[in-house]
Amino acid sequence: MNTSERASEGTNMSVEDALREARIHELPLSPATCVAMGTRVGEVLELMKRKRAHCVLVCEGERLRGIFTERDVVMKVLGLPVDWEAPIESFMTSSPVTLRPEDRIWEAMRLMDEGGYRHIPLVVEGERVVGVVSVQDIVDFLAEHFPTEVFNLPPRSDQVFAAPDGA
Amino acid sequence: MICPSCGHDNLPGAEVCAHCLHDLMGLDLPQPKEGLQRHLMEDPVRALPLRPPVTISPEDPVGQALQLMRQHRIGSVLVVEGGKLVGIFTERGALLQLVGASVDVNALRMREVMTPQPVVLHEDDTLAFALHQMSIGGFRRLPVVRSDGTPVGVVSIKDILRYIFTLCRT
Repeated sequence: MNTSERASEGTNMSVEDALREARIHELPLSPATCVAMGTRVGEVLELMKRKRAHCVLVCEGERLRGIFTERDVVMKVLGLPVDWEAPIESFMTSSPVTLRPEDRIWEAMRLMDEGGYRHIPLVVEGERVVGVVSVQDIVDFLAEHFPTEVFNLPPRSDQVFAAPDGA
Repeated sequence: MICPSCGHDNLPGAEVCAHCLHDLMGLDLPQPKEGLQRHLMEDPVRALPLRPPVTISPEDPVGQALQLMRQHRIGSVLVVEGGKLVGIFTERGALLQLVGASVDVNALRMREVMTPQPVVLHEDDTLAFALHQMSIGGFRRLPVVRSDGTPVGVVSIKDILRYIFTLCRT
């Protein structure tokens, strides 16, 4: 069952059941941006800016070796006396936690909560990279599961219209 | 339709229980969804442990914002002028504004790189509303302000996910 089918039966499936049952590959994931080991960190930053990527996966062939995120950009590079010619492996997080596309969304949430991660690479057959799941993907999934009610609610309960809108 | 008082099984839509005359009005009205959905639609932003705002002036250099973000291990600083929120600077902004042309982070002012007039939340907004704002705008954190514009904190996606997680486990 894909996400839209699941959403259409949203009336009889609660948000928590959807979260517990749906698998990561049912999310509309955006493709991961990958760079090779040895890429200069300056080049990686340019790439992230150009692609508006939140993170890059550092690979050796198809095998995952590390992850470098927006947080690392601020924590380890910008405004610091670092060599922008240095290879990305000096800045990346090596051997990050991974999930498989068939794992549950719930598991991704749990790992993000416990580890404080916002991105978890998805791998198959051990280390072969197929994508990345982000905390944003999970929020989009949650938001999709109660859209009509929320769009029809005023943001605050006291914020009701005194007169019909546009009258 | 089971009478909550005596347990008699009444016809659907009955106004009083045929057995004990207990008032059944309202029992068949649509109720808010249960569980997580109800919590998200009713619980306000103030139910979250708000992170206290880390603030900076629009005239301060960007380098200072980067230092604050590193020191507090946070993803954003709020730009405040005269006690009111006027902008936000995030990791995303840092990447998009500070990479590329040779930028001197000690000369560049916050005013030039901040996102002015950011989307904000109020303490009474529901968590569902916060989630939707984050989903629609692609935000991972939103400032929370009082009605007069004074910042009171920041809500991150992870705070909401943790709240959801706690609700689902209990």
